[in-house]
Amino acid sequence: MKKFILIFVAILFCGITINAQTNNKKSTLPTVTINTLEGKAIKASEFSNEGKPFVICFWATWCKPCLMELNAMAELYGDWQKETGIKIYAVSIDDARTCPKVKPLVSGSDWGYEVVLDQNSELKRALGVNNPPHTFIVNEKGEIVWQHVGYAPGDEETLIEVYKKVVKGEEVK
Amino acid sequence: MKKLLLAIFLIICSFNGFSQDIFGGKVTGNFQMDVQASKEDSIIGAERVSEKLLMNAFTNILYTNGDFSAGVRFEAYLNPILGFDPKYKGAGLAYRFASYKKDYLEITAGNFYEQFGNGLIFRSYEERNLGLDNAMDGLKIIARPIKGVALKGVIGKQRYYWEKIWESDDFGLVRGIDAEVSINSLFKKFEASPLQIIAGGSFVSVFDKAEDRFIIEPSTGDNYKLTMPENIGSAAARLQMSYKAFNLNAEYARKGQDPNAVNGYIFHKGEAAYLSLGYAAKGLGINVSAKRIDNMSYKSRRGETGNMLNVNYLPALTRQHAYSLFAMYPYATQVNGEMGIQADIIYKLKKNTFLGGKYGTDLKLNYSIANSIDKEYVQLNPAGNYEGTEGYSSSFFKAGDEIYFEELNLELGKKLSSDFKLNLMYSYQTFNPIAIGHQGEKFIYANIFAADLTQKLKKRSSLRYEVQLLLTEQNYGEWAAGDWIQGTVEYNLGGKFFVAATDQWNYGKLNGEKVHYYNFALGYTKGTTRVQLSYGKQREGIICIGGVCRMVPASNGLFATITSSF
Amino acid sequence: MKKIIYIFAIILPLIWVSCDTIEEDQQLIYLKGITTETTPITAISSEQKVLLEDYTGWKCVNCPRAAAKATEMISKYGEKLVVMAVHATAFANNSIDSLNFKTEYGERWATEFGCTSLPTGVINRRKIGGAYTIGDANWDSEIQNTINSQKHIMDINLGVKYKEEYNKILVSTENIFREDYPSKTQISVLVLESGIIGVQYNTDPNYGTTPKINDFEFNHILRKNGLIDYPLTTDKVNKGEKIAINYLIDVDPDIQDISKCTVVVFVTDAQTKEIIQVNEIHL
Repeated sequence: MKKFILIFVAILFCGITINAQTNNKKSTLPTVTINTLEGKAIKASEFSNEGKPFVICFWATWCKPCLMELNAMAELYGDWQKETGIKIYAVSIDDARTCPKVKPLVSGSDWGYEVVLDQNSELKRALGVNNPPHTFIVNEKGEIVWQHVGYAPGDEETLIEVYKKVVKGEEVK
Repeated sequence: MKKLLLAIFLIICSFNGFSQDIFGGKVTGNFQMDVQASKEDSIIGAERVSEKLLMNAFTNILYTNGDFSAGVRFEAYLNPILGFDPKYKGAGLAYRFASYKKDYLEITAGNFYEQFGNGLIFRSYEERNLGLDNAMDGLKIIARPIKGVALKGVIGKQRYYWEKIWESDDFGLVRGIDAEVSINSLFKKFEASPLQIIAGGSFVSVFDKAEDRFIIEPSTGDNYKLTMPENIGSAAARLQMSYKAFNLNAEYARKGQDPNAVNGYIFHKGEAAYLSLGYAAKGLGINVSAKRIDNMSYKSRRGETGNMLNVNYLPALTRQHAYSLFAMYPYATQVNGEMGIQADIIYKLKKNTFLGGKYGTDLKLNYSIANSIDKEYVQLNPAGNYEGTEGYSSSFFKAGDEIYFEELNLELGKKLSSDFKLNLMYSYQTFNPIAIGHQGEKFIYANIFAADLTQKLKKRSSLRYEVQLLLTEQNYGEWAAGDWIQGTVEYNLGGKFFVAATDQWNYGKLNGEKVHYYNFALGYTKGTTRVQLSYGKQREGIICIGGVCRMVPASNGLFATITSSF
Repeated sequence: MKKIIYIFAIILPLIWVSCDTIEEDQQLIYLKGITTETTPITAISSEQKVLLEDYTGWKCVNCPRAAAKATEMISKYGEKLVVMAVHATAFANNSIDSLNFKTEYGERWATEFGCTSLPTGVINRRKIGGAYTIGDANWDSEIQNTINSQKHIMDINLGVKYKEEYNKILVSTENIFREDYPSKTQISVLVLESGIIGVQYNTDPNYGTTPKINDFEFNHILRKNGLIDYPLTTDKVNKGEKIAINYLIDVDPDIQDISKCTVVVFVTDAQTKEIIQVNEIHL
C-alpha cells in the first residue's frame, strides 16, 4: 500500500512538473486521421486557417456545457470572423450511438464551424483530453499555445481575447 | 514490478525536469483522480465502505517525436470507487504502445483502439465512466496506399481487468481487416461531384479455443457435447452517401455460428443492419435511423456475460440524456434481438421573426422506439431447452410483440435577452424493465419536464437555475418510486469557480421513506486543470452508454475529482 | 507500398477462411456412455495390478477346475489381481437353464486372443511365447511374472454409483500417469456379476459332481453393455498428468442382483492391446 501511495505521489508530481513545463513547450497537432462530416479522411495535422491561428473545440451532442459553449460562440462567430479571421474546428467525439445526430444538430444550429468527427476518440486521446468541452488555440505554426477545459458563460470572451493575443504573436499562458 | 514502474515514472519526470524536449520529442498527457468517501446510509441503500476512502486514478503519458509516438497509461484503483468492478482493484500499466505514422502507413504495436465502420463487428474503445476498456493488445496496421483508400489490419487480444491475457487460452484472439474507399477521392473526375460515395467492408474473426460443454437428458442421463466453433467470423459491408442536403449511412453485418453464454449457446447466425438517412439544410436538420440486431453479442470469450471483452459495439438508438431525471430509466441495446427506429428533427426559428424573437429559437424533436424481433423457435434439444440447437429463425422485417422502450422528447432553447437563456424540455417515456434484465415487472410510463435558465451576471459570472419533474403512475418500489422533483442552483464566477446545490426528492414515493438526495458541489478550473468537490447523496441508478450499462450504487458522502491535461 | 497491398491480399483470404461452421447434425454430439456427472472416488490403486481373463463356458467340462484356480489366485494375490470370467465360444451357447452370459465383445476377444479350446486364460493381454493364451496350470507363475516384470506406468482410481432413476451405473475414473507414456491409450469399463447359481458341466470329481454340477456358483461373469476401448489419451502423456472421465453404463437386463456386481476398468495400449493397468470396484 505504501508503494502505491508513493507511486501516486510520483505521478502527481510528474503530472504537475510536466504541466508546468508544457505550457511553453508547444506541442503540435498529431497526425491522427479523423473524418469530415461527409466521411472523408482528414488528418489533424492538416488543420489550418490560411496561415492564421485557429481554435479546436472538443464537444459531443450529449454534452450540455459543450452545446452552451458552441451556441454562445456561434452568436459572435460572424463578428469574430470579420474582425480576426478566426476559424473554429468543432471536433465531435460522438460515437456510433449519437453520431447520426451530429449532422442534423450542426445544420439545425447553423453554427458555421468546421465540424469533424472523432468517432473513436483517437484525437481526443492523442491530445490528452479528459472530458469535453476542451478548447485549444493553435498558432499559425501549428503549435498548441493555449487550452482550457469546461465552459462557463463568459468563457467565450476569454477565448477571443487570447486568440487576439495569439494573432499578434504575444505570449499567452 | 512496482519498483520498476516507479523508476520509469521518475525517469520520465526527471527528463522532463531537465529538458523541455526529450530527445527532441514532446511529452503530453492527462490525468484524472476520483476519490470517494461514502458512509453507510440504510435509507438510501448506501453500504458501509470498509476502506473509508476509495480511489480511481489514471494518467496517460504520451511521447511524440515526429512520426514516432509512444505512450503509457498508468491506472490505479485503490480500491475501485463504488460501482466499478472489484476486479479492477490494483494498479499498474494498463496500456502501453509505440506507434509509427507516415502519410501512407501507420503501425502501432502494443495497446490500441480502433473501429471498423459503425462498429457493428469491431470496435475497441474505452468508456471510463462505465469502467469499460476493451483495448486491444497486439498489432495494428493502417495503410493508405492511394488517395481515397484506407486499409486496416488488427490482431490482438482484449484487455480483461488486470488479467494476464497472453498467459491463458481463456482469452480469444481477435483478428480483423477493413477496407474503405472514397470513390470521389479515388477518381479525379468525381472529385467535385455533389454525390459523395464512400464504401467499405470488413472481416473479423475471433479464435477462441473450444471448451467442453455438455447437456444432460434428464430421464436417461445421456450426455451430449456441444461442438464449439473455434473461429467465429463476421463480415460487414457499408455505404456512406451524400448528395447535396441528403445523406445516407448504411451498414449490414453478419456473424457466423457463435454459441455463447449471452445467446444461450445457440448456433443461430448473427445479423445486424443499420440505416441512417439525413437531411441537413441551414437551420433544419432531420435524421431518421433504423436498426435491426439479431444475436449479435460478439465477445472474445464465449463464457463472458459482463461488459468486458466485447468485440463489437451495438449502441442503443435512443437519446443520451443530460438531465438526470430524464435518464432515470436508461435503455441499452438488447444484443440478442432488437428492432429500433429513431428520428431527430432540429429546427432553428430565425432571428427577428415572430416566432423566433430577437435571438432565434432552437427546437429539437426526438422520437425513438425499440422493439423485440420476431423469433420462431425451431427445435428443442434432448434436455428440453435450446442450447446447442439452431435456436430460432427470424424473419427480417417482422417485429416481435414486445416493446422495450419508447420515448418522445421535445426541447426548446431560447435566448430571452442578452442576459437570459432558457431551455425547456419534455419527455414521455415507456420503459420495459426487462431491458435491464428485470423479468416480469410492469411497464413504467413517465412524463418528465425540465426548465433550465441561465442568467449572465457582471464580471463574467453567471447563475443557472434548473428544475426537473418526473411524473409517473407506477409506484411500487425499486424501479418506479413514483414522482420525483429536482432543483439545482449553480453559480459561476469568472469561469474559474463554481458552486452548485442540488436536491433530488422522490416526493411521490408510496412504499418506503421519501429521501432528499441533496448534493453540494464546488469546483475550480485553471487552464486545463479542474478540481471538483461534492458532498451529498447519490441515488442508486444505472448509467448506460452505448450498448452497456453500469450499476451505480447509492452513496452518501464526499466525492472529489481532479482532472488535468498537460 | 506494393508490399502492403500484398500483405493485405494474403491476410484477406485467411480471415475469410477463419470462420468455422458446424453442420447441424454435428452441433450436439451424443456421447454414448460418457457423462459429466461424478461420484466420489473410493477405490484408490497405487500398485501394478493384473487382469486374468478366464475364458470359460457352461459346457466346458474342465472349466470348474480353472474357476477353482482363479479363486485360489485371488486368495493368493489379493488386491493385486482382478479376475474376469469371459463366457465365450460354442461352450457358452444355449445354457439349459437359460442363463445368458455371452457377450458380443467376449466373443470377439476369444477370437482375437485365440481362445478356442477352453479353459484358457489371458493375463494382462500380454503375449507369452507368441500367444496370448495361458493354461490354468501356468496362471500362478505367469501372474507372478507379470507382477514382477510389468512397469508401473499409471494408476486408475474409481468411484461407482448405481443411478436408479435411469437404471445405469455411474463410474468415475481418475487416470493418473506416473510415467511419460508415448502412445495412444484406450480405456474399457465393464460390469461383472458374481454369485449366480446354474448348471455347469464337469468331468473332474475334485471340483464337483459329474457329468454336471446343478448348483455351480458362477463368479466374475462378464456382462453386456460394457464400454470397450474408449479413447483415453490420443497423444503422448506426460508424467503426472491426470485424466478424469465419468462413464455411464446401461445395466445389462440379464443381471440378477446389482449389489453383487463389480466394475472393472482397464487401460490398454491402443496399438499392442496390452493392459497397462486395471482396477475394480464393488457396487
